[in-house]
Amino acid sequence: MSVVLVTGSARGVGRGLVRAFHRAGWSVVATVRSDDAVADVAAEFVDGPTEVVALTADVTVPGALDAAIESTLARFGRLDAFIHNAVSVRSSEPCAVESATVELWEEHASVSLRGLWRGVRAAADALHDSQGAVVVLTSPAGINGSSNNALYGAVKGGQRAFVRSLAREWGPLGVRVNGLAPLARTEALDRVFANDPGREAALSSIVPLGRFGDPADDIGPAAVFLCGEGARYITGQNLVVSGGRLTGTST
Amino acid sequence: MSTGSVRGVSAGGENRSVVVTGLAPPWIRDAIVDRLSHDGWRVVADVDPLPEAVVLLELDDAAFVERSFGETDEATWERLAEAPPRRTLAALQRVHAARRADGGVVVLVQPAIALEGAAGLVAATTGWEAQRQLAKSVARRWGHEKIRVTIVAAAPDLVAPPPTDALRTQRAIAPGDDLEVLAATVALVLRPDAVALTGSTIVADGGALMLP
Repeated sequence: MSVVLVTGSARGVGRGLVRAFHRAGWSVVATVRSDDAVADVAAEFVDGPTEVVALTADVTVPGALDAAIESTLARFGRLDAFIHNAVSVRSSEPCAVESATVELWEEHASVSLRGLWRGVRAAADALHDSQGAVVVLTSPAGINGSSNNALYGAVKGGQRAFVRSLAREWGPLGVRVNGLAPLARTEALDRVFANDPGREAALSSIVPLGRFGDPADDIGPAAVFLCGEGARYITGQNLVVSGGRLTGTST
Repeated sequence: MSTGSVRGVSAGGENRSVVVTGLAPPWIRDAIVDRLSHDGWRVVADVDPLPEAVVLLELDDAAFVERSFGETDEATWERLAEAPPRRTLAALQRVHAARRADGGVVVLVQPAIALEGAAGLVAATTGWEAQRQLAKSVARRWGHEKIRVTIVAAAPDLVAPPPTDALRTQRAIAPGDDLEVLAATVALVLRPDAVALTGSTIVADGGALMLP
């Protein structure tokens, strides 16, 4: 039985990833930022072929992910994949970069950059033991830039280089490192569409497949693939799962 | 070297002002200053008032020191991965504040190594790429204010301390062992008729990566 830890699992893409891995027969450790969400996540997965364990682990708190990894190893005895999905709660907030504060930058960086550093360090020994995989949830905003969310685009871009470099460094150790850039329909996007009914059609019209991806059904399977045996020769890549929205993205 | 012109537009600086700032060994800065001066730019040392053109160097020697990810402590991560984009954010904000009325051009110069990644340089490449994406985003946002932002990604072994395995590249052509090729590329994107270049990354590596 393979074991994956997914950060930022309370809702949105993270919750979808948990569902996809659960369906695919993985045991899942779903970490969430606050205690409030633990019961909600756990309640969804009381039945099923494998176990889903929900834990509180704020990726910005030193030691939190170390503790989550320890709990994972204590419960399952191994870790085969680590997925850094957590983002700042302000990640979808439009930002005028010319007046953005250092505090806002730190908010993004503390989760997406330092949180990534913390999480992968915490998981390193276990992943080396299992010859496992790292998947980082990046973003189209970190590929083409974002005029309204430059700080989010910056940290997501930084993650892409993190993936490339760590893949080169850990390849000889048998650990694969990839990125996954989703265009997903999340609860946050639902709220935007609810407040602006014309927005959904306008945005969907620029996606060749005509819709935003479902976190569990469209994005999750791509993450399962990247962590699984079928992707054993894939590392250092950034898989764009955007319904064809982004097609020319090599740099 | 000819500076020429295209349809009456000067290829050179025509006494316009430029500042070359940021982190880089002095010989790299000097090479760029020499080339821009040769092309007719008035290279100023002061950023107040900020001139219309800014060359922002992110070629810190210390960033090229290889260390494994496991050996990268929090202070190193902060210095190499998070401080550089924070620094670039502040620099770009200064440009916007000073040039939003009249327009301007920024050239961010960084090593091309983050485009392909490098073992031992996880933190530094994370920082460089975050800077590059920040530059792309502001290029999108400030284009209507006639502020151009372009990235020049230099051959790593041209700008780094003695090349290591991680920095080895396979070039289609050898650009030579001096920095004139890098300086010439910076001068190229500063040209007043290079108005179509914004948000783009010009990879000046002698055809090693051939991206995109």
